[in-house]
Amino acid sequence: MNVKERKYIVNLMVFSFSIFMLYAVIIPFNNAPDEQLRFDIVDFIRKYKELPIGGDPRLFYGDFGVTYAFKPYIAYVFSALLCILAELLKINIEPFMISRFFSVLCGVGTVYFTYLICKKIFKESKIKYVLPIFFASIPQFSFLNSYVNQDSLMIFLSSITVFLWIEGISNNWAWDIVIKISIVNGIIMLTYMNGYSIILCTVILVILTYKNKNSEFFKKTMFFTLISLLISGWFFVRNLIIYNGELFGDTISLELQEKLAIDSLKPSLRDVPYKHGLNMITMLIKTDWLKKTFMSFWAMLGNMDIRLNSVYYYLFMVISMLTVLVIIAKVKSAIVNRKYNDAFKLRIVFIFEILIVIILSIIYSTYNDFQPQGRYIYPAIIPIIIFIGETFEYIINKFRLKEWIVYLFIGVIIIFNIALPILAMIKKYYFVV
Amino acid sequence: MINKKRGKILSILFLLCIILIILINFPRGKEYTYVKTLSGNIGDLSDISEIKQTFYANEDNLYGVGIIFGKYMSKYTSDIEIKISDKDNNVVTKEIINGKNIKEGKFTKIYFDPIMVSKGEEYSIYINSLDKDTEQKITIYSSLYNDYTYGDLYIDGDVKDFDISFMAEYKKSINSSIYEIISQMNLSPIYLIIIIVILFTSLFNLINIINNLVSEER
Repeated sequence: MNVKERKYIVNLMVFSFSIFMLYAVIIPFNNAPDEQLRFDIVDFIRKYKELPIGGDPRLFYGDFGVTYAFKPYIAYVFSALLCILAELLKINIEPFMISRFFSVLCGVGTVYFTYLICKKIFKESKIKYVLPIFFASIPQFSFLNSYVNQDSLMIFLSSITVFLWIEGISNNWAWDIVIKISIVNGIIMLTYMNGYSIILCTVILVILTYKNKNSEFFKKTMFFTLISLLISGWFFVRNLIIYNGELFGDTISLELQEKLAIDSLKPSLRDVPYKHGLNMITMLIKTDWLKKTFMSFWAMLGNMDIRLNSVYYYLFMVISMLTVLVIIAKVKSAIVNRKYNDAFKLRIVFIFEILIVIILSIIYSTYNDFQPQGRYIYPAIIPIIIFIGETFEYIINKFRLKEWIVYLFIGVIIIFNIALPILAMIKKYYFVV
Repeated sequence: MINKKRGKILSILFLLCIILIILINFPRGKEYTYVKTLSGNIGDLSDISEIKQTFYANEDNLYGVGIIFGKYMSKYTSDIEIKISDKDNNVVTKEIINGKNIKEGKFTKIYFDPIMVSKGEEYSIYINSLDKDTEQKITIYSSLYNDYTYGDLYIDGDVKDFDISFMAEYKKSINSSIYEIISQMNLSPIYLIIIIVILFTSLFNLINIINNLVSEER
């Protein structure tokens, strides 16, 4: 790593930090999905120095009668520790801002690992320098890294995992990689359930790419399972004991919701597509799930009430469609040439990861709670960003397009990514009553 | 040398674009949405002679009002007159809007010269369809209850127990806009300034470094 590259990394991290911090400073408290409910867990740990249990009357349940204390919440534990540290150091900043700071740090970490991934994937191409900036500036990603949530930590851990995937493939899953990936996947189990798809993909990728599956392979698999369970298991055992043998205390949680939620939001009265006779396919056709999920994947901020100019979404629709076409073209070409190398297998796992999170989100919206939110697709954000980078690279190579045209295009998008959401948030939060 | 210069020019252009977009689109007015609902409506405007919604201005520099019309899929092409007057019935503004320019379910706004001292004063919005014979229909969305308690809706002189969907805008200078933001922000202004400075500095450096790295690789 030369001096210029080091300078690049430092500036990239400072840029990511400042843009996420800017969002965190602009967004008033509880103007992001369930922020008050999420921060309540942080505040509970901070105040009482103990882990909360769902049903505790000291917790806040809101209009939905829900609490995030039933499911894993390691991100909130880290945030609370940061708040306690700030208290000890007598830093006079609101605890919710300290909690947001944890999300900001996770975001910076994600961008750092994205660069490392880009460096390995786009070895010769200059896209490796531009793509992380493009990624950091995506409004929804910046937004996720600026309020209290578990998504930011999960995305950070997913970026480390993808980096370790590439390392693992290159050294046939050496022990140091197995140890690192076991720890990271163990922590993922304690974050956010959508992130579990990454663990599944890790297993699939190892099976697909491990060479000479001898006794060493068995040992490593057992080690991976053991370490992951050691890191995360305590929480689930605790839950099993507290909630009468239920991993996530579903029965107690449902009873609480039924009791505490306002009438229209009680689970028994909750309106889901399934109750209207829709299945997963018809739900996609008859509701605005696709449109809203797509829009909120790129930029639908606040409580999904801050949208950008519609031209912006059309622009991303073009990029997304081009990306899908390039993926199809590359897969087709690999199949025709029978070139099933490790790079191809990695791309297949990327595609699988993207599909699985989309399908999970569709299932959740159809049968459980209609939530067309792009952030549910974010466990697959790293593969998506890599595919977008490969699309830019493909366009340059295939059409012998002057590189600067593509970079200018990316530059314009970065300008929009920075300016438009800041303006939209300022208008919504400070100029609309 | 040329590459270094090119990098700096690119960086400056890049930052200027961001600053320009923000400055050009920076909010110049504060919006107060008094009633925003599509749950009810006041009926076809052709059947009503006079619609009047009164309200009290929250701030000085009142300079715009908005109303949500409903066209129910009809292609309404006739004119509608919107008039704003103060409590002494002095006309502040009178504007005629063609139905073609009205978007279903969204605020149709009219603007006028800012009223410097408007805070606490009563104003009335009058809406009148100028073509009573048209077959096409247009209405104004309204609440089901008296959502706006500081003013009343009158239809043909009768006071109603609900309100139309309406909002008002108050002009802000760039200084007062910035003050508005800073006074409500989560952190003290000094942090904000530091964040903005490091954001632009890092972006400036990034473009420069990428330009240098790319030139070196060539």
